[in-house]
Amino acid sequence: MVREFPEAFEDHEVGAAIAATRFGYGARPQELLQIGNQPREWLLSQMISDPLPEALKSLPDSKDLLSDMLAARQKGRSSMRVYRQEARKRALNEAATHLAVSLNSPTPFIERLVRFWTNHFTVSMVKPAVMPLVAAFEREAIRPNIFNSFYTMLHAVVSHPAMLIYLDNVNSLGPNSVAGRGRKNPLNDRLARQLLEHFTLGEGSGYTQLDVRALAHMLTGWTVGVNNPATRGEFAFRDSWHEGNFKEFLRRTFPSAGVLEGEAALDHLARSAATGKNLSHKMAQAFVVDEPDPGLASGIFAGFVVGGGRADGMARGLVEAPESWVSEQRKVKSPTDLVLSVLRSLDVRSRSGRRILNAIRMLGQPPYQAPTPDGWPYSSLSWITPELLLERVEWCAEIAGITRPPDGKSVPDLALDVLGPLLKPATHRRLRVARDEVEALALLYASPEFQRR
Amino acid sequence: MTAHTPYIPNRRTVLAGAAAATVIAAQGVKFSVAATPGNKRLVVVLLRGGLDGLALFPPFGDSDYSKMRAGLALPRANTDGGVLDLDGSFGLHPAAEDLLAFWSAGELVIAPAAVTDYRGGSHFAAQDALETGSAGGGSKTGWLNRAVGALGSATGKGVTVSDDVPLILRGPGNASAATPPPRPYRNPGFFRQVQLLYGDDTLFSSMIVQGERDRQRTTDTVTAEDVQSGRGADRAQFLPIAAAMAGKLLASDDGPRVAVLEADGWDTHWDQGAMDGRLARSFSGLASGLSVLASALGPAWKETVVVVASEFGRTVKPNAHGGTDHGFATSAMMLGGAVAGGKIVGQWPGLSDGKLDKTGGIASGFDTRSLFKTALFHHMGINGNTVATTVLPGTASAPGIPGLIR
Repeated sequence: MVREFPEAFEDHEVGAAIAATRFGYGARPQELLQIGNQPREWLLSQMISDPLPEALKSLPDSKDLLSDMLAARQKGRSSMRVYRQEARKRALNEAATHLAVSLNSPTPFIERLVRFWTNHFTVSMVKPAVMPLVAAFEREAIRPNIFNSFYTMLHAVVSHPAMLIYLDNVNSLGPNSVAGRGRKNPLNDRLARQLLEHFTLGEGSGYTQLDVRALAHMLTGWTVGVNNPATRGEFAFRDSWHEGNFKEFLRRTFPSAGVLEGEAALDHLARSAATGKNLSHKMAQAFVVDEPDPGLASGIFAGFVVGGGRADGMARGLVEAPESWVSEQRKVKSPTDLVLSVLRSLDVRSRSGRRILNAIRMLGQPPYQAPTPDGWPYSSLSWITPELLLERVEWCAEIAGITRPPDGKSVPDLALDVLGPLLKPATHRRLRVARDEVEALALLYASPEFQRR
Repeated sequence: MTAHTPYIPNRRTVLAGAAAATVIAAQGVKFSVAATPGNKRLVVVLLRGGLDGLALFPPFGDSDYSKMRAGLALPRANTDGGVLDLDGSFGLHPAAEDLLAFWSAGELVIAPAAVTDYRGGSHFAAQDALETGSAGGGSKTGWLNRAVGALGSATGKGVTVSDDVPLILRGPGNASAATPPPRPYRNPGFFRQVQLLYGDDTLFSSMIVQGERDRQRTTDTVTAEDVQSGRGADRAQFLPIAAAMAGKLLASDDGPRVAVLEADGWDTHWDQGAMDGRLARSFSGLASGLSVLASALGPAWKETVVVVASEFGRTVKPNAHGGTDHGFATSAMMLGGAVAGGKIVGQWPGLSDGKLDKTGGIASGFDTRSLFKTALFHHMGINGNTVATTVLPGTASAPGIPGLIR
């Protein structure tokens, strides 16, 4: 017997649906009931869990992965070719495992935060040299730090071999350094530029090209160990590559201090109000709305400021801002959001994650393969073009054709279970009169309520 | 290879200001609709290519049947997996089992040896005769178009005529809408549902409409290739899709009242198969298409008459390639909730050598146009004089049959 569409919903039912959909990867069939009348608490309580789940702890760390690569490189070209093939396979498997973890997670808010920060600090497989490292980067630099001070995360990110390789800092030499003197264009400022433009202060926040250059100078010598057994495959600071002398950075003077210069610069950036505002704006865009209202961004910013620039404070600020809870669904799900939420609604769990990865790739967001260092866009319109929408709808129909609602549930009931008050009565009616179960399920997934967050 | 099947466009483009509109064309299956006043529905199903009527309704009671049909003969009625018995003389191909329900409900009339006045072996000329209503008239308008005119078109008159509208519906005064091309999708009705679902959502509805438009260009090409490569010989498989859409349109209160369904692929010169095979698949598509049509019409089925006809039949004896060549008479059907059926109509000329037509096909036992006239006069209620002088002139020898409509 199909349930009637309820005449009214309780406020907390709306809250539960938003908590699961906007802050998580969509509800499993029983999840809205489990969230009950405490949606905020449900989210905040996730923040005491370990953001690095057991399933990811046994995967190899970047030091081992890099050592393998260095060993293959020493053996010569043909062994490097074999290594690359293996590495590619392994990297895709790891990426898939991470997706499976997100799907299965009892703490989906953590998974969303991880994806937000991983995207903010994009390291993309598009650059073959970092392909083996992208998943390890998330495990080592992002996951342990999403509830930490922002400085800790920023330092872990910028000193991680994956980032140093991805943005070419591994070969950046000070023009006046021992190693760089007399070379043509020894300095590479990609990492410094991306740090200011994207990772911290944000474009248009008032820094100049001289600041970019100064920061690049401070980061010279930040590289990855190759020959020294103590630092092989890990962060290494090479003094002979470092640009000496004091630097004028953001209207301050930083005395010459080797590796400490870069750390001081990162610390300064991580505490800056401009950084907090830039990050808050982006988090609001990622979770709530393409054009965030000032109230929402300042709620997240308030969380950032407490304790001197904290990532966990931002998450708390996001949950506590009333603007996060408006019932209107203003974001379109990214392919990752969509695929995971469809599978969660079906109460599916995954071990390898390979099929999830393929589906997301097909819908235009190949995991860990953002085309540029700026990462995947947050704007809804990037995901809903005419062609992409057709592909989505076809994918929805395809998955509806090869699966069934869990526990013999009817599709209209399933829709109420996973969308709650977000489901419109008209859509519910259409699901009830669909010509068969496959069509009903496909329509549920294609519906604007399901496609949005 | 994914089946490229048609889908339904925005209903407004189908109905607004157009008395006749072709709606889909893909895989050799297409349907067209026309608006007329009143509640009576008329559907004409054209099986293009020349239907082997002997295979669809095997005359197992005819003592020459097994011998003449040789390798194409089906096992006798009442044997396991054999012909489904209709009246002790004629049976039904098991693949068309869906038709049995209509027969049992008394909603199906069969004319096992039906022809028009066309004599010859040209598909095109024979189809023209079927659609204009006469082989010799040289008429360039379709008889169904004239019938719609006689009923009084429900909308204003247009001017342009698209090539997509079949001849049977073509004529002056009936505008036609261009047809949206097919898209690679299994269930075309689904996209219509998605559009409805997106009605209120400006972003999603505009994107899906644009997406479909963009997709058209690509799909056009693919379909053309498909046709060229001769895929989808058993195209009637796709008839249920067109039937479902046509049925839904006809069922709606403000929808059209007349529809034409066309299915290619009946020209079975090679390997047509007996119990199984290409022709059996087509039968199954035809039968399930008709049954889908009935359910899509819902209560309106009671107001509906469907006439199924093909331009000519095929040789009784199989040819050297396991197929049959162009013959003469073939089976025609009339079915519907408004039909007083369970009857076989016309003469049965028999299958012995001396009784066959000179083509080697079945001789004429019935004029197909009698079914048309029955539907127009007794069902649609068009004035008898108008039918005789305007809609189907020169067919005095093929009168309507009063007892076939409830």
